[in-house]
Amino acid sequence: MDLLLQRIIDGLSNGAIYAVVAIALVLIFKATTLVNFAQGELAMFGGFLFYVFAVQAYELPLLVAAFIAMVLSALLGVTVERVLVRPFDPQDHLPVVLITLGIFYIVNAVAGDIWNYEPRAVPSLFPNNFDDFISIGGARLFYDSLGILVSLGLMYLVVYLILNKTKMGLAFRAVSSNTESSRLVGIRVGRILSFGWAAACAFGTLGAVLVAPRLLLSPNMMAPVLVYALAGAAFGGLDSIGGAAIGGLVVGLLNSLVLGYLTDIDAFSSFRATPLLPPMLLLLTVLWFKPSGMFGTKQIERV
Amino acid sequence: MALVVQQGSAQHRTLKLAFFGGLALIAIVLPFILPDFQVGRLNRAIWIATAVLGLNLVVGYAGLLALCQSAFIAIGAFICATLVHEHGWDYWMTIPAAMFGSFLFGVLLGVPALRIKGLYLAMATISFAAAFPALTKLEMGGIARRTGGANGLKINEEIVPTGWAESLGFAAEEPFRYRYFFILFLAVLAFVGVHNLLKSRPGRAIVAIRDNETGAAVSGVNLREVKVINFGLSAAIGGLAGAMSAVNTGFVAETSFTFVLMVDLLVALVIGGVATIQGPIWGAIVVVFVREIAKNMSIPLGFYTLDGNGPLSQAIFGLILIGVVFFAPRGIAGLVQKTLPKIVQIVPTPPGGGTTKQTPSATPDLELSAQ
Amino acid sequence: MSDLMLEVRNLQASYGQVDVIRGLDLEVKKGEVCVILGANGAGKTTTLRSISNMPVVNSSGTVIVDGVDISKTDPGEIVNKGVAHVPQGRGTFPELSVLDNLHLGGYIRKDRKGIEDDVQRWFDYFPVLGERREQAAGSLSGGEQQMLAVSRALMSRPKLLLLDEPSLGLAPIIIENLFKTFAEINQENGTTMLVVEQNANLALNIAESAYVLETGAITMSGPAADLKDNPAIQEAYLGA
Repeated sequence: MDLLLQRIIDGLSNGAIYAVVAIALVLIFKATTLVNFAQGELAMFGGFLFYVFAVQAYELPLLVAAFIAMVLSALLGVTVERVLVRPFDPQDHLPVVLITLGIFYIVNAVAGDIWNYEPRAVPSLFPNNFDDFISIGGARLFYDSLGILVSLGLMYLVVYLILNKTKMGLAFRAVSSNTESSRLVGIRVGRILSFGWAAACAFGTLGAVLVAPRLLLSPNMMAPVLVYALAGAAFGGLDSIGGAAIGGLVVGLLNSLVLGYLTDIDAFSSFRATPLLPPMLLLLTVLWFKPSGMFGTKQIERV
Repeated sequence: MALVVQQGSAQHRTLKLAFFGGLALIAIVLPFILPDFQVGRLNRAIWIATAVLGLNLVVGYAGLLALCQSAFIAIGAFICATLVHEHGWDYWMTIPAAMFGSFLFGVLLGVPALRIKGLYLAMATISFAAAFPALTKLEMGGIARRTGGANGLKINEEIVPTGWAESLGFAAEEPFRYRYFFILFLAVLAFVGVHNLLKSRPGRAIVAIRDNETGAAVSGVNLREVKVINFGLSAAIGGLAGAMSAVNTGFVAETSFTFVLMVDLLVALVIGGVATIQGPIWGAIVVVFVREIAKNMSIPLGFYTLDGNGPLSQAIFGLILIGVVFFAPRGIAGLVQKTLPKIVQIVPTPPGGGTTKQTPSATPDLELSAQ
Repeated sequence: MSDLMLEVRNLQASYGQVDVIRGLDLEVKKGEVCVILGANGAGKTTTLRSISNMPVVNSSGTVIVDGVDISKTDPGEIVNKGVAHVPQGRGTFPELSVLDNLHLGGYIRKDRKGIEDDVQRWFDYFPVLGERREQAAGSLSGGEQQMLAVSRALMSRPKLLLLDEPSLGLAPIIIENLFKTFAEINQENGTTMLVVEQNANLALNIAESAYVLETGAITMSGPAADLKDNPAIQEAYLGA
């Protein structure tokens, strides 16, 4: 029972990180109908920026360093969108997939060159010593995990409020719904796209900052996280922010429980080497049975 | 001024003979000019070109964003390796087995996967390609044992020149040269096969689906069947490439067939030229050899030196990829198609014979592109 | 001071290599309802899209709205010049609520109170919209969506309203009511309207002037009443 509870807690806290990155993916998808395969690398770069401001070059208070990293990566995201993505017609998928993969490669290589591939320890935004936890039953809810869950909640709240209670948010939802009509009512679509990418990169960086203490910061840190986030976003529905949040949590739970219990069985112990298998299977299943995800809007395919 | 040649004339046939003859000559002589280890690299370029040929069938000609070719290459390589290593098969015999096995996997994966559309398909297949190498490390069903798990498998029998080959001049210490002809032969078969396929009725059905799915369906093309079989064929060719890679190095490991390989294939596809037969060849040459050159480059940029060694060769690749998408979306094959008519123009024969005036043909027959 | 709201001179438009509109001239007086009639493929929608400089069409020529040249204006800017365009298929925001749709119509306006007053006004004109104000626009019936689309367009208090085939896909009774409302709106607000229609009958009833478009060129024009009585028109467009 305790083990189950622990696995649930761990699954949810990992899942919250996936949810944060999933929300970033969904923001870009809503604005542009594109999947940004480079989202993880851009987030990782933001994580390194945090490292620079918090440890390497300066020793700013952690929240300040995180904030600066988020702002800088937002700027990077806007630049990338303007220069590399906007020239292309979003209906033609191949060029954009290639561009985002190219960005993936470049950002990864630049990070690997500036900072090497050695994993680094990074301070957590929350107190995470051995005794910083709350006991629930026999399980431990570390402050660190709690902090991550709270961050997800706050982030979701912020996004929800902006999207639903502000004029900019209304414009964003309009662009997501019907880009041509958005132009006709006078919305500056370009600005909205930039806003979408900026927000996505900022949140992606937040995700990286939250996960870095656990996985150790390195240029290849976010690639698996992206797979989990993709699976979560797809599960929730690529155009649903709430769906992404739930999807990320589901993926985290799924991994924790499935891998946890499965690998306890001797025959399956080697599955420990395939943590990407459950999310991949989930992704394939969702995309096959219900591509619009659990909470997304159905696309009507006219013949 | 361009040379104008009548299509189907004796002149045309001579030109074609000269061109392909010249190619064949170069192909035969090349391994003897190059040092043996370079031939090994050349072999890699050949099997990558083959893999990209397969990928092109789906992405280029059918217009489907299925990006998991690296997984099929791995399957082909492991089938070949297991059959030789554990069951003592002859390498030649493993080729059809590897292709068939990959074909099966392709069809099995294709049936569900091809219901997924557009970008979602890309997501699904990319994650499959990313996750696949790890699957080979599973211990259940003896998978890890067969694949060598994390360390890979050194096949106990390698292709080396046998008696009669040695008398021709192949030395046992230069195995890559010998393997070159094995690999080249298979590649030529694959390229000719695909070229003929695309000219045939089923081949044109594939392209019809890309250009206008509804129109194709209404014209009687069975969409699902064509898509799935095309996908299976692409996988089979990928499996062939995998077997070729096993022949080349005598060693298979999951680390050779990762997401990085998949991106290399995509880069090769785009640089070479999507939906062309010659494209994969150009692309493979660039991906294999430019990478080597990039590794030895070092560009001083004022305060920062762009050093090709290390991660920056990867950055250069990313730049090439983005650059091609921006500036040369039709790839090298596109450039060739544009400049070739300036040298030689193939002019179609008007009905009823006789010669025509100077009306240039849009796609000269001389090159290897199926449009 | 010209009494023209819309002046179009030598409009040309092409999709890729195909010429769709060749040298078209058009005039709409202020406060007038003008109709462009034509069969499918005549180029009616293209004409409207060219006026708004929408993408896909390579257009050239002069377009002047209330004395202001908008020939080169970005489609995202035309609403600022007083042009509201209701595209073919209504162009609503299907996932957003009726209320959100209306607010988006008034996006460029800054007067909160004015916007709310106008929203209420359109609820008065179209009570069914008021009843469904929180519903997603995509869940409304065709006729309701058209009412929403027009209301949304009018929220920006435009000088010129462009309507692309408003009757498309709607039942005859709905169309009748719709056109009656168009006439009312025109009379009460003085909004100039340019309506593109296949359904000639009702359109000609509410219009002051009309043009007939055939394969990209104007073949007939004049007061709506005259065209209505014209036997050729009757045969071609007022038949079935």
